[in-house]
Amino acid sequence: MNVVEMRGIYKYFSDTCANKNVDFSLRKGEIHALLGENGAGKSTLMNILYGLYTYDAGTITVNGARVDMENPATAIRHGIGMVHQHFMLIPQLTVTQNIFLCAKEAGFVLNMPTLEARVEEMNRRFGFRVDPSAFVWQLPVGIQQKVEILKALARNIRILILDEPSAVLTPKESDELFSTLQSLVREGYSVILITHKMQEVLDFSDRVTVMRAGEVVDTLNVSDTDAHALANMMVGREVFLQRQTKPQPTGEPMLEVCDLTVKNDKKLDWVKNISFQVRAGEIVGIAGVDGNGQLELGEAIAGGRTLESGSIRLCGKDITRSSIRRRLDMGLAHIPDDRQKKGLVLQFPIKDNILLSGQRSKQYANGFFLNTKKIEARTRTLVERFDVRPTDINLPAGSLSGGNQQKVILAREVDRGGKVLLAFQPTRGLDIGAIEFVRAKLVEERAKGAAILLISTDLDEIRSLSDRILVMYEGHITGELPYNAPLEQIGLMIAGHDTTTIEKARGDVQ
Amino acid sequence: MNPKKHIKDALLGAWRPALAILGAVLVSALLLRAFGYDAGHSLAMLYDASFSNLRVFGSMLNRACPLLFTGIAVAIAYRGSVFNIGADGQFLAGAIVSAWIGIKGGGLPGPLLILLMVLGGTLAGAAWAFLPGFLKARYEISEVITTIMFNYIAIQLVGYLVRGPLRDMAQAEPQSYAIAAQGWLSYLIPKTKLHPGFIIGCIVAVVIFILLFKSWFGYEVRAVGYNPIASKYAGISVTRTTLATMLLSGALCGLGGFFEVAGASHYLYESLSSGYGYTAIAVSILAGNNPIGVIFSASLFGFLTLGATAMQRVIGVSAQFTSIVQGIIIIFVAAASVKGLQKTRRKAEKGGH
Amino acid sequence: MDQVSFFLAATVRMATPLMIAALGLVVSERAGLMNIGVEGTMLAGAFAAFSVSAFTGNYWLGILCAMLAGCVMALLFAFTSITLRTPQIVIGAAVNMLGSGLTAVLFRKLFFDAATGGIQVATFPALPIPLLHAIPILGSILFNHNVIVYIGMLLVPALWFIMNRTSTGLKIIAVGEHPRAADSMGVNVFRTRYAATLFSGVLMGLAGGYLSIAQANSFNVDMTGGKGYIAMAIVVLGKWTPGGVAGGALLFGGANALQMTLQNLGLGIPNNIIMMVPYIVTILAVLTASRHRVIDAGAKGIPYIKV
Repeated sequence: MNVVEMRGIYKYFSDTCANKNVDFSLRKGEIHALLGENGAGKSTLMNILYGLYTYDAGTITVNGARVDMENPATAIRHGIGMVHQHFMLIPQLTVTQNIFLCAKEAGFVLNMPTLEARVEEMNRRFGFRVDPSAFVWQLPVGIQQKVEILKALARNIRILILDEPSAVLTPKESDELFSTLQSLVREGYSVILITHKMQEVLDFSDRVTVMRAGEVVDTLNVSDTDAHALANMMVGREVFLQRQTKPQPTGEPMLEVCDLTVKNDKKLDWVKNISFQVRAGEIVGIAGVDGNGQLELGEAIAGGRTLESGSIRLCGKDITRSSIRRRLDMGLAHIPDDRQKKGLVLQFPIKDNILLSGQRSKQYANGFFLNTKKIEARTRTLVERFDVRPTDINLPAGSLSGGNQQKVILAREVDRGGKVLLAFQPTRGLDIGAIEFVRAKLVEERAKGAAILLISTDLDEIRSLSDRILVMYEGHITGELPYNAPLEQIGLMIAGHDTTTIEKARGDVQ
Repeated sequence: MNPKKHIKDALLGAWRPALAILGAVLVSALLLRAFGYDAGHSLAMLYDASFSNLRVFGSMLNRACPLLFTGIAVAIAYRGSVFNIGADGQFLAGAIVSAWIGIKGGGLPGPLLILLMVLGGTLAGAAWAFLPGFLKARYEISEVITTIMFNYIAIQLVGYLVRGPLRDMAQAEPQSYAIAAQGWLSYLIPKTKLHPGFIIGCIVAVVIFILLFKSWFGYEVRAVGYNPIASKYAGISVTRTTLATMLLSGALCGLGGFFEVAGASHYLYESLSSGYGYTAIAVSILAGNNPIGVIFSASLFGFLTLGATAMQRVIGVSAQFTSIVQGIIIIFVAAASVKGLQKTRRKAEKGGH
Repeated sequence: MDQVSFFLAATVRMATPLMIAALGLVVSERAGLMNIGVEGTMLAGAFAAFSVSAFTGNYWLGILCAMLAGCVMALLFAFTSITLRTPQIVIGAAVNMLGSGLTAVLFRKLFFDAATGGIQVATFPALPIPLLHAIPILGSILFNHNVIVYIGMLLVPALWFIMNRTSTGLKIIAVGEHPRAADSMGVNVFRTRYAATLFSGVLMGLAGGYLSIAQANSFNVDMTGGKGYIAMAIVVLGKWTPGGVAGGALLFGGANALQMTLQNLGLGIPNNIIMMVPYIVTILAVLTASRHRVIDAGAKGIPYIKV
């Protein structure tokens, strides 16, 4: 019996179609995995089901009745709850207070002992051990997630959506989570699991729906499929890939990362003992799904995050403890992951953004004073060469489109003459024209002898630009592949499926 | 940017505050009517109080002088995203040290004494801003509470000095001895009491403007003020820049304190600052946090203050009427500028996905 | 002994307005608003209480109008900062100027003659609590005050209860800490923030009214003399909890009373130096608060935009 039926769902974000004619159904008492790459439209679909997003077409049926999902309150009324990737908890309140905030049965005056007893009761029933009177800020992430689940369960939820639940958990916490989910299913709850990890699908799910580029590829029983087939569906068929780079000899190692360990914001080791080199004249691509430590790795190299252990060398010199200023001076160019937050001052005009980080250099300043003429002349040249539009250099960067903002950053970083270029998601969210432009510039820099580290979740990008591909999964580099490695193999590896087991599986089949 | 474009921008940028001032004057006039005063007569009075002759014009500029310095100080702090509500305390710290040097340094020749007072006042202002600035820069402790606390400590310090160690017993009210006569700044125009403070304040405004918009230091201050994270990734030390911004802001307030003591009062007394530091927030906002704009907004507020004194004398409305006008101006200007901000943001969001 | 109980009773009297205003601030700051317009809001309350009490002879009506006046000033702040999303510190500064200016102008207009001739204004009398006030020492310290002091005392446990034990309190904390999460749980962020601001305005008005018709029987221009700012400091000192705020207010009230007592004793420590102590203590308190975890609202001063 289907508890949820979504039919012909369409969702547009301005011009892009995030969900295209999506059908999805959930059976009572199953764990249903929703598998796909970043941007495949999984979270969008589930946010629609939870009433957070509106949808442009389609119907939703819950327990046999048509439901107009207006807001989360509607969803909750129909027994649908969602645990977001970024928890929606109030750190300053206790576990119990979070669970019963806005719950009708709590009333005006909260009877804390009674409510806490109810939490204890749920603890017993679902096998949790959450201290009802602890403040949420005191709890580790794994427990906070349980509070989120309890919050949903306390509202008589029967259908639970979890968005990448294991992304923030340690392996042990993940195991606990999945045994919890399995016991919930045994009690008759139905679970939707948004994930990009193959193993979670294979080990814990009953059915799986694979999405790619906003569309459903297929829905299958997990027992009828294997990692191999799922990976193929997830990343798509082997397309004819236009290599944009020609082979060229590489030079000295310009960026050397050795045994690097970095913590994330939650103080957990998130990059674990990573070592690699990037040589002059090559592009090394780091492939992986968001949240596997790329952000922390990038920030550690750029100098924005302190590292726990290991060392980094730039152009042969140790920069492990160097300031960002020193790294830039030594030849690091940086295209950050979040251009609006880390790469630009949106209120500044284009020319002042070109100036950013060069304001004390001889190129732009005469001692203490800025040389406006030089800055403007250089900006005009760069705006023309990098095809930034509109060309008015006095326009605030905030008024430019994403692609043109990225071109401004690229122009600045390339123009500084860096020998090492750290390109983090350089084309995320750009239109086709801008994507091609940015990629062509990276290739041009490689030809000039720059050492480029490309971190991207876009496998096409990684494969068309990189000379070597490193796969990052859960903070480790799980393998190195040549640029012409089969897409399916990369697909398996970014989903945490070791190539060796695949090879073995293949052997078994043969 | 060429000068022509600057002027064009300034004129284009000025219509919003101009409209806000016009609206505020209108609302204020209506309030006056509502309170039963003759609004037309009051406005004429206001004008006469500052422009009827050279003497009153000089007084107006003198009134504007402390607001000019504290206003520039607040403006530069705001540019660096520091809410310096402590301008009052920094102003008083400057006044205290200037007065102390002026009183104790009677044996020194005039130029040397004045130089020492300037240095002492400026450094004292910066010193008074140091701790709040350091706590903000290093530990992200809100500067709002700490600067206000330092204001009150400064006020109590003035009270202690003029009732204790520096008290001139010859006076009935508690006040300090006058500073040595050679430390008095001379009046610029005969028959007026116009001291050089306002003129020098205008020069300082231009200097700070150049510093903010034409030097790498000012560029870094503004970059950190707008986007500390991007600034960090561009190799700018956010901590150092924030602290430097605060110190500069404090130093300017201290300099204002020096001019008030050496140019206007010549001694220290308890209500030396009638909340200049708080009014400075209004002055700076009205000027769009532009140091050169502060020259005009400080003058306007000086004009209002002086005019209100005349209005109280002649038609009986309390001189505090200026506070109402200032309050309304701030609300109008702030509300008008927020609209503008939202427009640019929306544009950015649209472009940036 | 007399000196000590006089000192402690004075401490309670001096602490009351600071405490009431600071309790109001606890509510609005925990809801995520940074209102530095306490001074102006208190002045509005003080003047409303004084003038209504003077014209009607009814101090209860006076204090009611004080709370209403505080509420009106808070509404101005709420509308500009929550709805228009104007920078809150700027609006707070404007509220202070408006409060100071309006009360001064109206005072001069309405009471110009009275100010020189002296005017009878109905004020809250001391209301010894039966039996309790007769307890030696403690009676005169705690139970021989006017009714607003008692209201202040009761407000502390009442607000503690509201903030920690009712769904309203949790909603206030939620919208201050993580408005988006609160929204996702079904809390109306705008309504909660408005309500918290208006409530805090009522308490600020009450604190102002206490100054003019309970502690004194007159109104002076700018009679709050920085008490609004001190209330803000007390909130930090008391770490945003009603109990902590009560303690902080007693510290400031005690410093004030100490200064009076020392004056009486003639020990020769200058008043101004004693008066500095609470401010220095506050700075130290802010320092230590930051070393632990400050309980300040996470989203303070940031307007909420629903997507």
